[in-house]
Amino acid sequence: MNEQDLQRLLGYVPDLAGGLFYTIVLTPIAMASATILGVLFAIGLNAPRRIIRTPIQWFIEVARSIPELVHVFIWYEAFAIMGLVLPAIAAGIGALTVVFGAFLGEVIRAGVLAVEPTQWESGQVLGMSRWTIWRRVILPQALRTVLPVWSSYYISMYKATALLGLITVPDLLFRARGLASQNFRHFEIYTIVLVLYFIVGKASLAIIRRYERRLRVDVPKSEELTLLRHPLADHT
Amino acid sequence: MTSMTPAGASPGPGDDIPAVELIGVSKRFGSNMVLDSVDLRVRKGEILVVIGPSGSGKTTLLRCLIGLVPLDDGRIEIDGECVVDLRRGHPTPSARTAEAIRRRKLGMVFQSFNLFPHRTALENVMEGPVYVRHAPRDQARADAERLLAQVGLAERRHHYPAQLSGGQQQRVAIARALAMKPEVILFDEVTSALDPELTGEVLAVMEELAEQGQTMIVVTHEMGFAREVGDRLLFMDQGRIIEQGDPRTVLDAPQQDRTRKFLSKVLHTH
Amino acid sequence: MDGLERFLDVAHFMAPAAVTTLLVALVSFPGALTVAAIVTVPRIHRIPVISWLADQYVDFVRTTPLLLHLFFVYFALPFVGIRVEPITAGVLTLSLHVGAYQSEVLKAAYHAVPRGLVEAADVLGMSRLVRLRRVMLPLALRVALPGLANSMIEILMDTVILSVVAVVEIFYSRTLYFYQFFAGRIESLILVCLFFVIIGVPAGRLVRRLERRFTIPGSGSEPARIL
Repeated sequence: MNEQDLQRLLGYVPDLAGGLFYTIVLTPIAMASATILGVLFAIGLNAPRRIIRTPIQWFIEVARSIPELVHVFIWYEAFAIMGLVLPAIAAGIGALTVVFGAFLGEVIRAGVLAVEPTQWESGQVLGMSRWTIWRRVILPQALRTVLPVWSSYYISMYKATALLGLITVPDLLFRARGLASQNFRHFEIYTIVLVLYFIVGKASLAIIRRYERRLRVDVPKSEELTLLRHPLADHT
Repeated sequence: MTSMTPAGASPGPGDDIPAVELIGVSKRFGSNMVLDSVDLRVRKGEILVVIGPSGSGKTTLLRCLIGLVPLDDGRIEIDGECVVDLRRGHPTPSARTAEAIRRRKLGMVFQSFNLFPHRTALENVMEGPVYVRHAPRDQARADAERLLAQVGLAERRHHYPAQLSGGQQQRVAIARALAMKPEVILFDEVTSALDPELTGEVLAVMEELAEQGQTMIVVTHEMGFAREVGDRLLFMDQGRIIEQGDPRTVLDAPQQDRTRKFLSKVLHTH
Repeated sequence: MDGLERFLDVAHFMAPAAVTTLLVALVSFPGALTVAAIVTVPRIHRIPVISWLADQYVDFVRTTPLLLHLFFVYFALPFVGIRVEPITAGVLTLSLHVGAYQSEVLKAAYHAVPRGLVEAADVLGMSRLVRLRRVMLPLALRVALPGLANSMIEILMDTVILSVVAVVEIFYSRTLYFYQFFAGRIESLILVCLFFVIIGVPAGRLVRRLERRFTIPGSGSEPARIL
């Protein structure tokens, strides 16, 4: 490698660092909002009344059968045409929230079903309200149970944020395309970006796994769910 | 069956060849000596019952014999044919030869049944004859039906394992082993996974086999079975044979301290 | 053009591209299975360096975006002399990507066969091949089937990525319609959604039915009948 190469590679740093920042920050934000939506869905799916349950089931089924990229364009393009102009980054987070919220809703509901029914009774006996039982008893246990599945969705979310580059969110992939279109060194730039994604992805996974072990109580069998990228929990 | 030699009768030709012979068989897992230079001879038609505390090496003994676990040292002979000889300076037969002999001579029934869950009782019994022995399907089916009737499960032959009780599954497993017409059947704690009320039906099938002169090596905790059905009782501890002899003698008047301790523990909890 | 007329016009325009989408998915599926089979064998049987590489490959795919893989195959590989048509790049990318996920399904299915059954087969004297054919595969495939069916849906949904390299599949055809007529953006988006919902919702239900159907009788969710 001569000095010229080094100069050029150093020239990438500001762009790629900026992109990396977006990529790293977008994931936890989108995942946090998707998890909140997922919890709401799970509570709704557990509602005693059909009139609440059924529409949520339908929504989830429809939302997860539409590709993420299409969701992104619904939020970015269709909403704008209908008069709701969102900043690209907000549209992107909104779209990913809906997609992953739908998946997580089903996953969390499966976790809720795995909580011993006697836990509800224990809460009632203590005089807790329905909402308190959800918040203090059921959800903490359900979320722990689904943690391994949740982490595999976290990585899926990390990968999905790359789609937002297509709607001008200046993430890592967006910057890479910009750089490549300037100097036509596609191979070099995309290789660097692939490695960056791999390192950050592996690191995130390692961090999550570590917290997972710490939070894990007794997690029976949920490991096998992590195998599918989008595990289909049963809700029929 | 040529091996039906009642005790005391004059031995016929070939009967002096032991069904199974182990010489100096050793096995260690890590630093743990599971089998410590075990010597053992099992006569044809003999019912050998093996008892001992958990971790004494009795299950490993069976697994070494049938080749599920490789030995570290020693020689094993089955019906006069050597399957493995790891003693220094002795030639050992090829893995292929050893497997062929074991396949022909030995059968095994497991503690956890291990029936093929995707096949019915009948198919489980037919599996070996059809896919290993290449027996004609019709004949294998007839044999399997006869064997299932013998273990009292003719009615259940089209049930899947999960639709059968533990005792029924274990009886199917015995029929599956019998279908291969083995010289010796190894029983590895076959009633340990069963509810107490289901052990009787399995033990009854084994007793019937014993009466028919089937050579059996039975690892068990069922002292009643050992006393009533066993020809010889063998007590193992820490990978060694501590004591052996007539079951009644060993159970009622054990010579060794360790045997006495084990028996007092086992007999009192029962 | 009024609403309905526009709708039909867009639908008419997009129909051939919808067929392309289906074809790309159909061709990529066996491609992915091939990749999965190649990767899974060394992951099951520990072979020194190759197993490690196979594991790294799956990890790599699982932690890097599909879109980037496509960019790499289509834009970067030509610089090292590998030049492929957009549609070929798409099929290749999808196969390599989904194959890694399928490998996870296959590996888990293989390990789902209980050790005791392998021993039972050995004790009966089954050869490796008979054991594979009569015991391992029937059991493992039952476990893998829903996952593989699910990956088929995944591939179909992932085909929209090919729009970024101008493959005229369903999602890119809406862009083309807009370029041509400066209209129909909402209509075309609704049609794209309909396309995926009409295929995806029943397919998803089918997968879940498969999950139940292919459990071994009496085991799993179905209560065991002890007769």
